Amino acid sequence: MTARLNLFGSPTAIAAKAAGHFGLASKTILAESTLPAATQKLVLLRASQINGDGYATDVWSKNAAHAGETATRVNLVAAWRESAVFTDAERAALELTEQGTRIADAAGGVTDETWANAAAHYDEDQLSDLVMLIALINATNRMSVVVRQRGGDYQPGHLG
Amino acid sequence: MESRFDLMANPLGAKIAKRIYNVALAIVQSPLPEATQNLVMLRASQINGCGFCVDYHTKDATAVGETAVRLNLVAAWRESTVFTEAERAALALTEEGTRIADAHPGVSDETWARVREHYDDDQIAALVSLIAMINANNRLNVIVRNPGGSYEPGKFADLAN
Repeated sequence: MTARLNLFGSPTAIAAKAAGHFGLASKTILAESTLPAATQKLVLLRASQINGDGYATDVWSKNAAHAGETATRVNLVAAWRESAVFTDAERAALELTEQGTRIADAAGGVTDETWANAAAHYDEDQLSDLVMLIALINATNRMSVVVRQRGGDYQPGHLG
Repeated sequence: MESRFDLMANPLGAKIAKRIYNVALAIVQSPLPEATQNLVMLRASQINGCGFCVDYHTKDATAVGETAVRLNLVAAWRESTVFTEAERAALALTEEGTRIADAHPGVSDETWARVREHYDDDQIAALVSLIAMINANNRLNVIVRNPGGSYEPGKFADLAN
C-alpha cells in the first residue's frame, strides 16, 4: 500500500520545505520543552488515534515503547479515562488533547474545566508547549491521512 | 481509581457474569480466527472507552502471540498496512455495529457485503454475536467504572462451567 502522494518527493518543492518546518517545530518542543517526554508521547498518540492516522499511531506507539513506556500504558491510551495507570497530570493533558482534537463542526472546543485542570498541573511554558504539540500533531495527522501514508513499518527512534 | 460497584461481589451479578462468560466461550470456540476475535473486541472497547476491556483484550491477545505493532494500530486500522482484507472487513463491521447510537446509520450494505466475501455463515454468526457481546461488556464495565491496568491473562478462566 503506497501513499497517494509523497509530500517529500522533491526536496526542493515548497511542500517538502514546509513539511521540514513542521518537523523542526515539533522537534523544538520534543527536545526542549519541560513537559515530560512520556506525556508528550501520550498526547501525540491519543490525537493520532482519534484522527485515525495509522502512520503517526505507529510512530508514537513505537517511540513510546522504545523510550521505556510499558505495553499496558501504551495500550490503555485509547481508554485512558477508564484506566488506573495514568497520573492526574497525564489525564489532564489527555483530556486537553481530546477536546483540542475534536473541535470540528462546532463541537464546543475546550471547556473551562478542562483548561483549569490542565493549568493546575502545568506551568505556562508547559501549557503553551502542550497547545503547540496538540496543534502540530493534528496538522501532521491530516497530512498523513489525506495522502494515505499508512502505518506499520516505522522503525523506532527515526523521528522524535 | 476505585470501581463504583463490584458486580462479582453481588450473587446475582456474579451469576449473570458467569452466564455471559459462557456465551463468550461459545464464540471463542467458533471457526472465527482467534486473532480476529481479539482485534474486534479491542476495537469496540477502544470506541466505547472501556479501560478494563482494552487492558483485558490487549493482554489476552499478547498472550496468544499477537504483535505490539498490530495491537497499537487497531485504533487506526484503516490507515495501516498490517491487517488482512478479512480482518479489515471485520473491523469495519465492528465500528459500524458499535456506533449505532442516536440515529447513526448502522451497518452499511457495502460493509456487510465485504464481510460476506470473507466469512462463512458460522463465522458471521460468531462475528455478529461477538460485536454484540463486547458492546454489552463494555457497558457493564464503563457504568460501574471498572478501571483498566491490572488484568492478568487467564484471570476469568474459572468462570467456565
